[in-house]
Amino acid sequence: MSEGETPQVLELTVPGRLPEIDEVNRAFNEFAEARGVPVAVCRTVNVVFDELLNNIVSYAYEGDGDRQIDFRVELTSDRLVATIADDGPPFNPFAGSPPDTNLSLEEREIGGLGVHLVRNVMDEAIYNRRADKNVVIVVKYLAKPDSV
Amino acid sequence: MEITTSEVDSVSVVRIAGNLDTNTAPEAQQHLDDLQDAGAEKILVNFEALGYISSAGLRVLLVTAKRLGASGGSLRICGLNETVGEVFEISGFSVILNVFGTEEEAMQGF
Repeated sequence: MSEGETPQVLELTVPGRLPEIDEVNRAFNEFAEARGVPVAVCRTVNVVFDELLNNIVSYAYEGDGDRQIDFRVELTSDRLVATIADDGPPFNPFAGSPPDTNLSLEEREIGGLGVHLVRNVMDEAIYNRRADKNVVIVVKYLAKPDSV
Repeated sequence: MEITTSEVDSVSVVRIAGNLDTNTAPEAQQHLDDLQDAGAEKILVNFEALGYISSAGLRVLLVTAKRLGASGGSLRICGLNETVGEVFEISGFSVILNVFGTEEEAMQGF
């Protein structure tokens, strides 16, 4: 972030239900595209939101759709920072070992792949436990238009 | 997500438009299962109109490739955009699945 630059912010709270993934991605795409974020970056973030929401709804909330998930996106000229918070039991999604992506087709399983994708498509992926919430922060560095 | 299927020679060409994610994967899986139940042995999934794919979508491809492989058939995939291609690279799916550039290339020798 350039020094002194005020980030543009999108904040959103949704119920912990799988169909809300569409709403989150729709709101994010509208916010990001209006501010010139490349479509490929938007799609990458859509994948990340899909994986993280799916994990929270399926595991942290175990289908309890009345629990809330908080989103905050901060956009500056050189980075996009997304913060996703749930109030499920303490769980660090990045603590597990990555799946073995060198196995053959027959041996491959899908478990753990979502988090592996999140970690690798983003430039930073951080977990914090803060005041009874799991807080995941993911960062994508943005190329400056004049540096291409 | 929208799925359209056409038969070209002996190949079922399945075009998936929109996104293949947590919420759309079950419908895509059902569609591909139905095709195989009806006897399809060669399936080409064309992703030219796909925005992104998440691990739920990768699971659909994995299940389909395994089932086709077990019955002597095969799965080919083409038309990956930048984001989908990156997900394929990171997951190792670009190695375990048969990925082609265009539909024309994918159809050759299929």
